[in-house]
Amino acid sequence: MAVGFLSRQYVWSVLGPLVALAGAGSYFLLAPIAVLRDFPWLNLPLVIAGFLLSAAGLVAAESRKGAWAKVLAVCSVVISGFVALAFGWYIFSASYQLPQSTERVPLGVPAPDFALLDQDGEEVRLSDFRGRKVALFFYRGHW
Amino acid sequence: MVAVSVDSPEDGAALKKKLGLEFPLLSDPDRRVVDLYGVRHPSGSPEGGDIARPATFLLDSKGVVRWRDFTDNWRIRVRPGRVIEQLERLD
Repeated sequence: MAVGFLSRQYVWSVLGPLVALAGAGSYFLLAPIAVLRDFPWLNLPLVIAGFLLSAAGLVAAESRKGAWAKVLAVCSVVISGFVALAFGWYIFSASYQLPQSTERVPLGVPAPDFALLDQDGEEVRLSDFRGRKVALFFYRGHW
Repeated sequence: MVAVSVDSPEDGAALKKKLGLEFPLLSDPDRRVVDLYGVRHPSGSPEGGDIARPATFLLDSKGVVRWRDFTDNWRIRVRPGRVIEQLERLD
């Protein structure tokens, strides 16, 4: 019964976009895991698998008579293809878009002092930490 | 440890609470310190505003810059283990 259900081509066309979307969406849920964030070892195969499912659905639809089956199969390929392109663009292009790093603060020079407000509105000076090693992080914010 | 972003102190307070952080999150809405350190990423935020690129500076106890990391991909950040390893080498 299950095999008969899965062999119907429209199932591939429905599954394809779902797998592709799940693959792309779960990248952001898995982002705290550095190895999966640095390269989408799990998510990229899922997105590709989703696209291949849609492609298989399209091939299967060729042999069917109903016009709706073909429309569904084409929509499926378009959606999965769009998800795959958007995910690929984000991973392999958009996230590389950073300005050239600068030599404004080179190695071996004293770090320029500054004073900023912390999360409680208290002023914090870099020089408050003199005498201790400091790890100074800049982060994108907007979390 | 000190972290700087262009977020407001209120955003910093929310993030600090959410992640249970124990170091200060400093707010640089004017991008003054971001520019002082040359780490501005023009139009880098999803809303199109200027933000800080991810960058790490390690200072020794005299305040001298001893190690830096500017990632070339903002998804890919320096690993905590690498920062600790470099910090341990400093005076």
